[in-house]
Amino acid sequence: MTFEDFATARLPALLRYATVLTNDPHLAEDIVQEVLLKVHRKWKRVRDAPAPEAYVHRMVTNQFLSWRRRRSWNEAPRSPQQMIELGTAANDAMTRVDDRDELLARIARLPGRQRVALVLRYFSDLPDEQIAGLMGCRVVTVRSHISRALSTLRITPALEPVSNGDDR
Amino acid sequence: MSTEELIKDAFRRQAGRAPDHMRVLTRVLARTAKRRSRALLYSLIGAGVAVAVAVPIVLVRAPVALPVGPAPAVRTTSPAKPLPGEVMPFQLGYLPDRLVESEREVLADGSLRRTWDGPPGSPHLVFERSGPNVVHGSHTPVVVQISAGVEGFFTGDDTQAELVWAPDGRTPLYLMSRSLPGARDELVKLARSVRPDGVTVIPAPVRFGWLPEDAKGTAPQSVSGTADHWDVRVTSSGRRTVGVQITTRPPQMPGMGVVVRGKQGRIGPNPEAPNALVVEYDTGRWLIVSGLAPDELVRVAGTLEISDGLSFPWLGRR
Repeated sequence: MTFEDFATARLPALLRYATVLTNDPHLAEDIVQEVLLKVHRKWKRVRDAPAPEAYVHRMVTNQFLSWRRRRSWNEAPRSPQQMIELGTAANDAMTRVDDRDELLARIARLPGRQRVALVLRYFSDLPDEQIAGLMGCRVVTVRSHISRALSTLRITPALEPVSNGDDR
Repeated sequence: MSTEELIKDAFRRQAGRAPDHMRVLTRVLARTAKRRSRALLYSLIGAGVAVAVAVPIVLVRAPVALPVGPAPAVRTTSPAKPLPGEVMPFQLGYLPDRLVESEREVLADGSLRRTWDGPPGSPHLVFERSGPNVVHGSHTPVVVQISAGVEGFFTGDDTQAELVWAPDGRTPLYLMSRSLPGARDELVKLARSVRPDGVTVIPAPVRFGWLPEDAKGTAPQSVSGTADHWDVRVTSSGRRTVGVQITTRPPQMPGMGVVVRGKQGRIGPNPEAPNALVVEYDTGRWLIVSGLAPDELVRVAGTLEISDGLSFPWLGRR
């Protein structure tokens, strides 16, 4: 497989993953682009990895976490598009923010690793063991991240399945 | 809805906002272009991989186009009955001096091509909406900026040069020049002058009727020459190839007599084939069919659909 074949085949999925992870399509684009340039530079190593897709998936995750570390998440980490959208919503009392967008905004305020764990479980549908592999931590840590994330999101008990996040 | 379902639903919604992967792919490939082969680049462009930037941006940012001539909007059709063919999605807004249009073609891969030539010593220019298998050039391409966000891939020199780009992010366009001084700048200038067309027809005035099974295949067509003296050429290629030519120049008519399309024709050898059928099927219009056995030539010629009133006033004009 060539780098071009890989990039062509995997790019849509990587962009979807990064868009969910960052909650910002523009940032997702930047992150995936930077990751692919890195992949290109060390293509032989990536290609020969036991699971190249997982390898690159992890690179995107790490790039996101690295980006998060470099800046304060509280300093308006918004794209112009998001700022416009938020401004519109804030200035228009009649604008009703979609429940899902509200939930996404709350998820976006979670600590990076909690967010990654949440996305890998609920978007990528990965088992906790695989999430742990991608995040470079233990399974129990993954479950802890998810449990704390759900707690922070203040999900109402009525909606909260019993032991969600800790018994997988 | 459970918590898991709520989160999954929100994530699915967000995933739907993912950026255009073609745009990202093009950027990545452009930034890694030096290490990659030009064939792959071009084939990706041919597959529709390009920067998604709207055509209006190209137009706004393009330099002032030089006038193409008194009748820049070339039309191939008569008001009464348009010739069948394919419509070009884009046209050039600028042409180098002295060039006039000499040929339009529908190629086997579906590419639509216009060609301009001039007096001896003039450049030769091809503008093409490329099909899915764009592979041109012989050197590593250089990335050139066509407009904001639109990159092209240039290769060659003043002797022969090529440029591939996609002004709207999905339509691969191709320029090729020969003997064009300052080819790189000129091709970029030409690319920047491109504007939407949607009117210019690449004619396909001939349609095969009966064909032997082993001669069935794609049927590229071309119209070339001048407004007064032109040739339409069509071929169909399978294991055997049958060629059809309609010309305004009286050909030699050796061989045995045969009645075709109600007219007296002849079958005999010609410079291109051991057997060729020639018939003046309409006044001043000769039909030549070659590549098959005599009885097959008669049947192919008799079942061809040929548009009425063939006329190509755009030939010889800018």
